[in-house]
Amino acid sequence: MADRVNTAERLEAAAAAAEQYYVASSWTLMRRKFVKHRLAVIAWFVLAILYLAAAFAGFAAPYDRIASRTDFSMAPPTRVRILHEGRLQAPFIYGLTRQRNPETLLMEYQTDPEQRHRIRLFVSGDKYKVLGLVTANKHLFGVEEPGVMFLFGTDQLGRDILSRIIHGARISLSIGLLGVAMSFVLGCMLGGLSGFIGGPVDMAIQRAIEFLQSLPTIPLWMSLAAAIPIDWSPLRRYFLITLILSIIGWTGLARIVRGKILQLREEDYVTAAGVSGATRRNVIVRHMLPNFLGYLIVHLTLEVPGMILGETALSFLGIGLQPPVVSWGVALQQASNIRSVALHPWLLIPALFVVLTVLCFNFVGDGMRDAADPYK
Amino acid sequence: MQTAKWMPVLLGAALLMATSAWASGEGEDTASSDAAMTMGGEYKEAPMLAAMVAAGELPPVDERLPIEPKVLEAIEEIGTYGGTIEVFANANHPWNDLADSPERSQYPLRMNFDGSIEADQAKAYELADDFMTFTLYLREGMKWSNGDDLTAEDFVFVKYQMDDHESIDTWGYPGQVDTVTAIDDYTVQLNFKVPYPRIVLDMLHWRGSDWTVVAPSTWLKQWHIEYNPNADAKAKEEGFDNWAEAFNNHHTFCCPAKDVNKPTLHPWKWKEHTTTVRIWERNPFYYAVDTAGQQLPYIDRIVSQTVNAETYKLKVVAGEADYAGAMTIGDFPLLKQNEETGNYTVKLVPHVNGGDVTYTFVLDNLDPVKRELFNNVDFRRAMSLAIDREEINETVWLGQAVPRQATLNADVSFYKSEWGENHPYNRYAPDEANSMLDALGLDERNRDGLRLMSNGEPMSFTLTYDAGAEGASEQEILTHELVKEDWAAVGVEVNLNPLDSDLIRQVETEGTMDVRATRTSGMEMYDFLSGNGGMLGVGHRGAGRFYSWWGAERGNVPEADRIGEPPPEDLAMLYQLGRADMQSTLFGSQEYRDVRTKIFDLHADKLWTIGVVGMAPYPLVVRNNLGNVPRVLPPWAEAWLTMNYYSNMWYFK
Repeated sequence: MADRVNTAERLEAAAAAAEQYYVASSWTLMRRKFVKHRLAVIAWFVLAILYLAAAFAGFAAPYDRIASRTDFSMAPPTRVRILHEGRLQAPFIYGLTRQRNPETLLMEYQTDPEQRHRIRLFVSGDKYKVLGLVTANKHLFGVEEPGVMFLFGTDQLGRDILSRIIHGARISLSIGLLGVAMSFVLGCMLGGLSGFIGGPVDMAIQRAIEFLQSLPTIPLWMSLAAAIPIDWSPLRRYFLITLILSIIGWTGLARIVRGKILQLREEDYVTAAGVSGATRRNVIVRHMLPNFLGYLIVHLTLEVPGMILGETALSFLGIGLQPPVVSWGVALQQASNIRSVALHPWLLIPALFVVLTVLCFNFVGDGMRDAADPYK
Repeated sequence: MQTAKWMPVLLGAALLMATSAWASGEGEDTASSDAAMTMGGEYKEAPMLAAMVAAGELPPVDERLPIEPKVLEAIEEIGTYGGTIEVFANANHPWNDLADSPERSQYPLRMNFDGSIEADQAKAYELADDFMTFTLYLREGMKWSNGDDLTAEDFVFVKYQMDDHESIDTWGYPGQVDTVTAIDDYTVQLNFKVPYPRIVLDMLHWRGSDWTVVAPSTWLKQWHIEYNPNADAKAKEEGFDNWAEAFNNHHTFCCPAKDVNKPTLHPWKWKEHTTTVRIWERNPFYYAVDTAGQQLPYIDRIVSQTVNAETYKLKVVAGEADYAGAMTIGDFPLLKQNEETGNYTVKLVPHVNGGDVTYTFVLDNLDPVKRELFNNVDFRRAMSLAIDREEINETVWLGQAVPRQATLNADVSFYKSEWGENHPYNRYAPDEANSMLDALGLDERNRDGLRLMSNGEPMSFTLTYDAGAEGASEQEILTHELVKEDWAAVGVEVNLNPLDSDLIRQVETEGTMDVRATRTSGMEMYDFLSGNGGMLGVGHRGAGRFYSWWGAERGNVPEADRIGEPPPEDLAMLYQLGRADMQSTLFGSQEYRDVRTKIFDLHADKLWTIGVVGMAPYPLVVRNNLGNVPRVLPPWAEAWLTMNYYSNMWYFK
């Protein structure tokens, strides 16, 4: 008896689940499937934190990105401590004293246990503008003056590497999204035209794509970037670099869109919609687009790291963004010598962030690919 | 290391003093006994050459040397033969290392450690009192590296068969030289159009080398139409269009060598030359011997690999280079830390530069408001006061440069510290700078805190620096960034504008440049007559707009080609002083000092060029067992010469 009840309950539950499954929109299903991909979820959160920090860079970064503090040139990463004279304390740091080594002429930093600075939240410091509107001087964390805390060390002009990474994230992370957005528009438009109209238009667009794809990326970027006039403002330069990066980016997308449209054009429900008198526009937007939007999103997610790497590569080669603009590529460019590797390895920390971001985007893309076809 | 005896007679006291700063404790024993000079004028040669003599490929050493060879005193001790020096050339500065001139080369004259000048390739020289004639006495029996005799004809040939031929590429004689005459086989006389005492300095470096004023004429004549009627046919046979093309190809020694077989007078001759590897081997006919009668050089071979700047450092740090000098002060800590494992010694050696970073506000800027401002000495002085030189020196130059105004190197005999370190505006006084700028009517500021000029535009200038291969070093660029901050603090914005050298020259002529950053030896600040000389007010180096006026005055530039406005009066005064220095004063004379003192007094007063730091030393890496490398150098700064390390005396211990 009890067995039968259980079975019935189970059947009911299964039916309910099945019903939920059938009732649920494809978006809900995609989300559910995505959440099952642990790595993708973690990566999602990491990216969210990075983008949040970038959006509120002035607040998240302990220091200004450009102002030099030459008293602390090439200071190594500060160690955060919780033990003082054997006793557990709230996180704090020791003060720094410096001295030039008479032999090597290198500036050497020693910690001074006499000075202790507690790490505080919402500490006052350099002024910045929130989203370019309101001036503020509170920072997420930091130490009170005259203490200094450089979690990732400083560069030659004494600028905090962590702050530069956070400020640089604004450029480096947004260039990926912006570039992909441009690719998206170009790709959908040209791919859609190619697939829908066909004939000579299709022919022309496809040959153009093949031509662009056959060009070696880096030399093409380099020659285009080198053509940007040197006296252009950093902002104009930024947009142009984004445009350059998306010149190749759209081609893959256009291929996918075209392929999908060619395939879906022959489907029964599209024919049905057409027969029922739906306009051409409605057929595409209401019936065809939702069917391959998932693929598009996956493709775009996987495209973002390419853009980020592209910007980093160009700036690293010295032809992308230029100082005083701070991006990860610019930061790495300044570290691109054997001296940095041998004596000041912390200058290379921005590279870790590039790796982290690219990995995260790949994981998220992976999760999305699994989720993109929720009915399987 | 071999046993050796001390030979005090051979080492001049001055020499000892000069080298004792470096010489190691055991450096007192010198001169191997088996290398002692044999009486009767018999000379010794390298085993490598002795073998060739024995095989009949070379005449004996006594026949290869001139009748009176140049006898060179050892810098530390008399050396022994053999070995290959392995060096690297920085692809950005391929001419800046041992691999090429000047360190590898020798010239008609040489400068000693006490600053005196003596004959080297030549036996003697003579400059007439009116500076209109210069005579070189050659060494009888001296030979080119292929065995051809060196005669006066080799000098005359350059002047009349190369310089005067339009189709032949040549660096040639300075423009002041009128005629070159062979008095006899071993006497050459140069007559000048104008008094030209500087010929003595020219003969100390590349301007007097065997690719400028003297050439192996016997060898070259086979491609010259005047001497070989079949030269055109010969050229075609070799794949050239005409005889001049073939001639150029065979005689071009430099940058890069086209024909490695071209005879030379230098201690080593070409063996191989590709874009990545260059090899030189000893010149069997080299004209100099040491005091023990051994024919120089000691080292058999130089092998130089061209690598990029970062690989260069890696190779040096790994101990793969016997000698390395093409690095900057910033590389010193890394080099020092790896001294032991790399088996080398790194020292900071003084540089001839008087200013490592200097700024010139371009006086003939096309914008009338900017031009008026830049021509105001108070503006320039205020901008000088706004720079925190100590901070820059500590942060960027490892504290090793000297915060100073742009002027001559302090080693120069007539140097005044008020020109450089103690210049009245060589201070950091931002408040004073602010009030000076306020007093100039620049007291209004915009929202960003920038001062407004009389036309209401914010004070925002471009600061142009050379980003080419030989351009600004990392230290220079960091200095620009710090100066940018310092100037921003007094309400003046500069935007860094890295340009390639060719573009800079173009912009200079256009008159659109605001601030020009350069490094200077000090020489560029008055040397208006030499091609690369001082273009004050239009930045250094290259043809600026004022230059066209001065060129027209001298008749070098057609009147119609003058650009812009005539130079301001005080600058014209500087120009006249510079000309006087060139034409009538002999290097080292009292008159020469007086004229130059006036020139630099004027500079200090007018502050056309603002200096930040200067005299930054640079690291020199020398393999521990490489002997006779001078660590105290002749006063090159005075003569504005690139340093010569006398590598013909180097040897492996």
